[in-house]
Amino acid sequence: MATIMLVDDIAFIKLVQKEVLEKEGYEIVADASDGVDAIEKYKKFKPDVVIMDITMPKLDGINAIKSILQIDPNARIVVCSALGQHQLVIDAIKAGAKDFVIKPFEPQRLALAIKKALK
Amino acid sequence: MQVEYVNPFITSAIEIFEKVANIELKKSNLTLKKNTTPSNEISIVIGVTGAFEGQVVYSFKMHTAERVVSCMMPNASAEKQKLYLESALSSMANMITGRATILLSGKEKRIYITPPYVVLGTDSKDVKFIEFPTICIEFTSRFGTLEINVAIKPVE
Repeated sequence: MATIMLVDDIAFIKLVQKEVLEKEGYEIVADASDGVDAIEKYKKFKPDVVIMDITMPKLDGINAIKSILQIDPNARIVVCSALGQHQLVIDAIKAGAKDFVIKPFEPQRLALAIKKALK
Repeated sequence: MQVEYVNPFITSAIEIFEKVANIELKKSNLTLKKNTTPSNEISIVIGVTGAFEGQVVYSFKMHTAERVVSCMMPNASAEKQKLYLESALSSMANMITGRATILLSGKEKRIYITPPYVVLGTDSKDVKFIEFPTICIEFTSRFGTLEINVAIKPVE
């Protein structure tokens, strides 16, 4: 099964995401709490999919997406954020995200976004 | 500070509490204050920038906060609920503010928010409660009251 890295500064969100995704059979290989940590851990763990928040300290998710895609143009990144504004969703997809899941999310929505990203 | 900027927070808080914690919130009062200083024991502070600027402060009494988190994590042990208390409340504040920004931003604007900052009591050295006309929204629930202090204005 595919490997996933969770990126969010809020530990509770990562706890919920982990529970949902492990039930679907995915392996969580790493987690990060800011964009800088996300880039370093992407290089180290090379997950199949990254679930990326937008609002984080040090480096936000949109900029982290751009940096990871410069390292690996084939990286699959799904944004999971409460900031589901029209323009920000466009910004995330333009930056290279495969999908945008708005928090609070339904488990099936997150699972579908991962499946879509893996295709 | 216009009331129309407050309505998205009212709608979002009621929706998110119902969806995430299965708790019904009822708006009980709106008051005008001079700053965002909260009244209760545990607060979550979120800054707002972009098309709007300002601050939103969510405030709970500790016993209410504990009951809310137990509803967010109903299958977790009491120890785990305590461990995740600040984080779970932070996620609530983040989601309510995020939802409100969707309503405020429309199709063209961008509104950014800061990571949530937890304050215990009202005396914080690390974050400043801003001196700005603030609308304090009070809600009641079966576990006690929640206060949301909204101090935002559009950036011209």
